[in-house]
Amino acid sequence: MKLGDLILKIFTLLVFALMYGPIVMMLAFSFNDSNVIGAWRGFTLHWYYELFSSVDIWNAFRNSVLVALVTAMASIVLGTLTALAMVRYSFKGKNVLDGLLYVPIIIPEITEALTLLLFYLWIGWGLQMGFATVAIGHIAFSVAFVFVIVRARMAGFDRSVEEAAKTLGANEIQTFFRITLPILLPGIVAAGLLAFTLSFDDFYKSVFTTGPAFDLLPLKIFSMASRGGVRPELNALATIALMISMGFALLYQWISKK
Amino acid sequence: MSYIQRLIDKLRQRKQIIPVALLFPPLIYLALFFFIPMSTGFLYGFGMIDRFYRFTQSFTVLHYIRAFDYTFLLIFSRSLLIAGLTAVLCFFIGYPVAYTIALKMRRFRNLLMILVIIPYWVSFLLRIYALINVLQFFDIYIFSGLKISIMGSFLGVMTGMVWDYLPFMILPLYASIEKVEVSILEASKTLGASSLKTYFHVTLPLTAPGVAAGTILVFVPSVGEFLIPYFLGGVTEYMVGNLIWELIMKAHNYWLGSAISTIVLTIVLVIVLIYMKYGGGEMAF
Amino acid sequence: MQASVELIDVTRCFGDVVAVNNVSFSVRSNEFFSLLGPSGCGKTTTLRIIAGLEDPDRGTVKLRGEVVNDVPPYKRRIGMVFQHLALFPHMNVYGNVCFGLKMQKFPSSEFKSRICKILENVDMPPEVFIKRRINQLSGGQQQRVAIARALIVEPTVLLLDEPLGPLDLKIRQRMQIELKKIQRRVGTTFIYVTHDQGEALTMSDRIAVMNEGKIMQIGNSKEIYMNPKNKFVASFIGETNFIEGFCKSNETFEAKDSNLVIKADVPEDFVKKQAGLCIRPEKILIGRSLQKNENVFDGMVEEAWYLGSSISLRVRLTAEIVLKVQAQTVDDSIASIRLGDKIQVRWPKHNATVIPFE
Repeated sequence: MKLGDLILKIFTLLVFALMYGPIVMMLAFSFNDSNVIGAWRGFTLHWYYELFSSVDIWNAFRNSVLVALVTAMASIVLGTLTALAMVRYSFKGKNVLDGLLYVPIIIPEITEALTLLLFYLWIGWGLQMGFATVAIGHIAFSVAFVFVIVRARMAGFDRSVEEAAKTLGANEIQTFFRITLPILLPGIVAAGLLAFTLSFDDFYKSVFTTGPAFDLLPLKIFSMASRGGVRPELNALATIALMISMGFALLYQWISKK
Repeated sequence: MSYIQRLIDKLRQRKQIIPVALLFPPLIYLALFFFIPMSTGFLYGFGMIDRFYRFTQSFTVLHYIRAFDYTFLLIFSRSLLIAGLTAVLCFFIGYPVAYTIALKMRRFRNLLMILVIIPYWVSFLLRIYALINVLQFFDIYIFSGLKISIMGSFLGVMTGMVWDYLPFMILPLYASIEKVEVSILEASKTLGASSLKTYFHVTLPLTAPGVAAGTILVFVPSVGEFLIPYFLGGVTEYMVGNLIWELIMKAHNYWLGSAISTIVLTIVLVIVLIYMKYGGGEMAF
Repeated sequence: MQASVELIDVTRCFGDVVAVNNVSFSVRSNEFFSLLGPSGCGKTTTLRIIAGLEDPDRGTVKLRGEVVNDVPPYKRRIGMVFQHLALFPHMNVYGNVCFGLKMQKFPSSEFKSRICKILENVDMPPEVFIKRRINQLSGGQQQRVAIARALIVEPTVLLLDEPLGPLDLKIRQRMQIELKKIQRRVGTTFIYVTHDQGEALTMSDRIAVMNEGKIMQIGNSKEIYMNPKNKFVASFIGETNFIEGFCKSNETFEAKDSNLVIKADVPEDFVKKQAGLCIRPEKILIGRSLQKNENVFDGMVEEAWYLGSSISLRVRLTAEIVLKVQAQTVDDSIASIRLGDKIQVRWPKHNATVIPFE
């Protein structure tokens, strides 16, 4: 092995170690039997027990899951409809629409969150901020992502399968539900996973558009970290959230292969 | 079902209707909850909505003028600088990694790329928190009583930025490096170019789209970054994101905040448009 | 007997391009009918118009004697085999084949028996294949499933769009024979699109040769080959020689730019007109002549390829006329012809066809 190659490989492994080091450390210390991060005192699940018995945290977790589910389902429907229209048909203003649909993806999150808040205030929803205002904002953002993913999937879709179905007697609706949709399903589900994750992890939009009675997991983590800095129970919470995210990432990879 | 089908048969004659019908729900939704809010931001910035959240007829550039105040300009330029520095550092660290995975570690590349992709799926907040776990230890004691920490410093912010955004640079780079056919590089070598020369004259130019994509993916969100300077920076690392946060959450000055946010958005859009013109191509997920 | 499929003056444009230009033909029941032509000649578009997947700009499409212009494809009772087969990837063989039965509301009690019968008809034993997934089948097997799927609903006509294209040569030749057998067995009208003239000549009862959206000639294999009606058909099918010239009388043809006078069977409407003379290379004989109705000319061999069972020559008659000649190597005198040899070529006048001047 040449020296140059060896250096490159070592460098790469070093970068990976640094990339995952803090995560591993956070994970490790969530099991640490000590209030202080740094010195290892022993293995314990104490912090996880504290989490599970905290009403606040369950509340926030449940809210986040709810919002994420609603977001995923709604953005799947809206995003797929958009992808169908954009891929299959041509019409005036299609290019403009295409460009506009990329805006949610490139826009800075804080800007988008801000405009949502301002909008709600303007139309008088200022006092009713909670589940609805959060979910609405999340969906508006995810639709564009679902659109991009489903559209990419549709690029490889062989239209002649639909034509074959038609020559065999299936009308447009039957063709769509029996042939088109089942074939597109893996792509749609994958996009739904992404929409769920984006919503579950969302910080800026959530913090700007939620009300006092509706807490969400990322907000809880933020306030805990702001107040107390690094703490083992926060490590435990973060570890759990991390595991969920990693699970989704792997699930996505698996589904994308189908 | 059959009623709908008869309707569709009639519509088949007028083909323009179908895409419009399909698009109707998403477009209504997006118009209501994305594009109108975006313009609302505009309205606030120009003072066309008052403190009771009603639409007024008055138009003012007062807020924008205030936005260009010296302190704010300082914060803007600092944000752009930090974002630029982040992009550059991510490039110099990320390119060798992407290159090595794509060309030198072929057997492991699927595994390694999954490791690269996972951070995309993990919330930013969680990753910063994990980083804090580690960074809080880096206190250097100089003489007795004098402490230099990474937390709350420029070094801390830069560490956080690069650590957080690195995967976003690696993936696009990897994607474009991977597309380069190995036989092209081999041809270059047979024509007399050393490995280094091949890299500069062949590999790098061929992977330019990936470089552009990665730079955009890192630079654009970095400008508006809030969480990293908040947790890892001190007063001198205050960025546009922090500014907007304070204006909105603490001072409830939606008008100035809106103006500043719009300015940031415009700069970002201009940069992306320039990229699309000269770089082109879609972002693949 | 009522035509199975009939097209009357069908035209279809894509922007500025006229893909199908006033095409008319009718196909009889139980006929194996081919649309033959080079890429872009409009044959696939014509097929899709018959299927209802494209609408003609002008003209009438009739199936079983009824006008079907406004009838959507799923009501036309046609079957179609697509170029890349278009099998449903998310269903197995059973699912694919019974799809048509479900959509067209055949009684479900008959499904199993119908499916088994059609699979046997295409030589795929049901016990083995019925549960297989599509991606577990070979190219030839997928072909048969596609055909079975389309035939099971007893369509009026089966439309095939270059179905044998992606197959290996040997398999393709075997499938050609299979398809012909299946057509005879099942008795359905087949309309077959291809660019391969060998395929069309072997399999078809009649062929329509198309070029640039127009039908150049319709006829059976022998007619198309022996009596081409124009230059395109003559040169697209097999090899041919052209001589441009003038029909002096109903028995003589004078070649352009030279004094060569050729005895030919000139049809009445070509007399005293400019025309072309068309002779197939294998219809030119070598050697001395004794027949009165034959043309005999001296020529020099400019190129000679020995192909084993035959010899392929380019023989120059005059400054402007060079003929391709293909002769079986029946004896040594023919097999030993070389470059530069002076030989005599001859052909009976009925071996040549007069075609319009272009």
